[in-house]
Amino acid sequence: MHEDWLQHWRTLAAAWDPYGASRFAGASALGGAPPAGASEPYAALATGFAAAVRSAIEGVSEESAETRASAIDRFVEFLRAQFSDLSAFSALGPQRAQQQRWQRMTAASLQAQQAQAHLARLWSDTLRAAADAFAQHCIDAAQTETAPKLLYAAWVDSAEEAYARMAHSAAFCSAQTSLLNAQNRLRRELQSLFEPWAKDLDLPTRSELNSVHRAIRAMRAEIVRKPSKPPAAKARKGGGTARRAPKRRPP
Amino acid sequence: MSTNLLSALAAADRAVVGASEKDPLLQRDKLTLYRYRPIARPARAAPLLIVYALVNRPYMLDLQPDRSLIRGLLGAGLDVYLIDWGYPDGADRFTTLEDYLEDYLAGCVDAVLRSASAPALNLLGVCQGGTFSVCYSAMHPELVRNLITMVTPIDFHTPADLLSKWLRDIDLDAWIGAGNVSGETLNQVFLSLMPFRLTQQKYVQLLLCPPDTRDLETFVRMERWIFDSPDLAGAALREFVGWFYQENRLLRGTLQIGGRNVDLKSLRQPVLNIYGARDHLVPPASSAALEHLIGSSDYTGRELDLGHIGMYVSRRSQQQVPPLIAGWLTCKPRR
Repeated sequence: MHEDWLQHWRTLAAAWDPYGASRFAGASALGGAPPAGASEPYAALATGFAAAVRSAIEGVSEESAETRASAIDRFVEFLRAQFSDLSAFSALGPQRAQQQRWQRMTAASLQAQQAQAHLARLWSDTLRAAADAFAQHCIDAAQTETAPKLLYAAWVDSAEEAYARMAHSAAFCSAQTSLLNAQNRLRRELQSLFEPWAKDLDLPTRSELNSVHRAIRAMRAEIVRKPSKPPAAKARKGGGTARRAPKRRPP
Repeated sequence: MSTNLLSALAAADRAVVGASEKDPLLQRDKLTLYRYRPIARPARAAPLLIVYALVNRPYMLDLQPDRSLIRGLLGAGLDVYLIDWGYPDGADRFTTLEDYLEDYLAGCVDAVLRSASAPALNLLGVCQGGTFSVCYSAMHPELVRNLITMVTPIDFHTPADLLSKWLRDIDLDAWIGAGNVSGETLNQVFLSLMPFRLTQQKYVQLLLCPPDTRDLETFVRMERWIFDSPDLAGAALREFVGWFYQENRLLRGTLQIGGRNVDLKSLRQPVLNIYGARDHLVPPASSAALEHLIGSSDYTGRELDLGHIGMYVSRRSQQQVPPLIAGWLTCKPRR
């Protein structure tokens, strides 16, 4: 009976593979075939799931309560491991957009962490260089500069010089850009995360407000293009001295 | 911190900014155009319109009576106007550079010319406002008699330009998108250009050598100004960073605003270009690049031993900058 059940799962897994590939989120967006290996996580999931189920079924059929409990624990652990990293899975189904968003947020968060770690190392190098320069300065000027104010000024000079060297370096610029880009992407994703909530609560969303602002700009541009007063009225008031009409264009 | 210093700081916090009397001449959206009241016999010069940057507030140019570029210009008899861009909010997020130059700045130029009954004016652009003034003068040369630029970035890819290096590969879609960028964000960027001096040393100095009441008031006014940073309209900032900082279009001659080429060779007016040898925000080489890009044969470049902020508020600048500008302007013929 167990074998029948397992066979059933294997059949399902085999059927899932092309289904998963055909429904891969990237496929419709790109209008072509999904990237190579896109369905692999699903095939691995199905295979792994089948093995875990088999093990669990074999375990729970044992007489010993301990063995049964252990089998269930292993199965639960398997499930937990499966869902620990959703970023490996192509987004499918009704929650596709949300899953994609979480995947992007995870990637951005990881990139930000890496860039931050890189920047921390560069900062550490900078402070070491600043301390070296300051120590040398103190040795050179031991007889002349002992007042706290002068020493502090010397420290700031040393630190700024070391920092300027580092801040101009390609490594720092790249790490800082990477950090800011990742943080900004994270912010954008968070913003898009909140939009559906606002919509559900019938609160105005940023997108709606942007549409309103664009409409107002377009209307203003239209008003500026049209003469505000008939020419006769303008002449009576001595108007018409404008050098040229203010220029406005719709976005 | 001593109690005396604390109470002195609290007292100084009540110090007001602005030294010269002015009247609004034009108001449009968030923008206000001011005309300063004269304090001296009028000089023989066309009206002077000051175009400040979108970053920070223009009262820096008139901080207090003894630290006021504007007062110095008024004292020389110049007819001074100033654009205050105001505080953009979410409704301004789609305001573009074309809006700023061809609508707002153009509207101010028009208002000044009407007010002074003059066919053309003198334009004084400060920092980013200088870049705007250069673009405007190239696009409308007939309306600008003389152009003065102060600490104005022209070449955005000079080796000493740290800000430019940091902005070069920023993803503008992710950073700005369709929204504004907060003044606080920009402040953090500016502070991180010289973090030890700008976030520590000046406050430590305040503790080590408490200044007298008068200098403390100046310090507090400066602090207020530094952190009084308007948000920046998203679309305009996106264009400014993308076109100027990332692509250096002004230098390359590929800049278009509102579909019109900004050809610096058509800038044939007399130009006075003032920049600071110790400017950490706009390196002198960035400003000096203007000389070889414009079509004018009447170019005067002045590198002063000052920093970016010191250019308008330091004691030394009060002795140097207003007389330099006023002297240069008044020796030009007023047609």
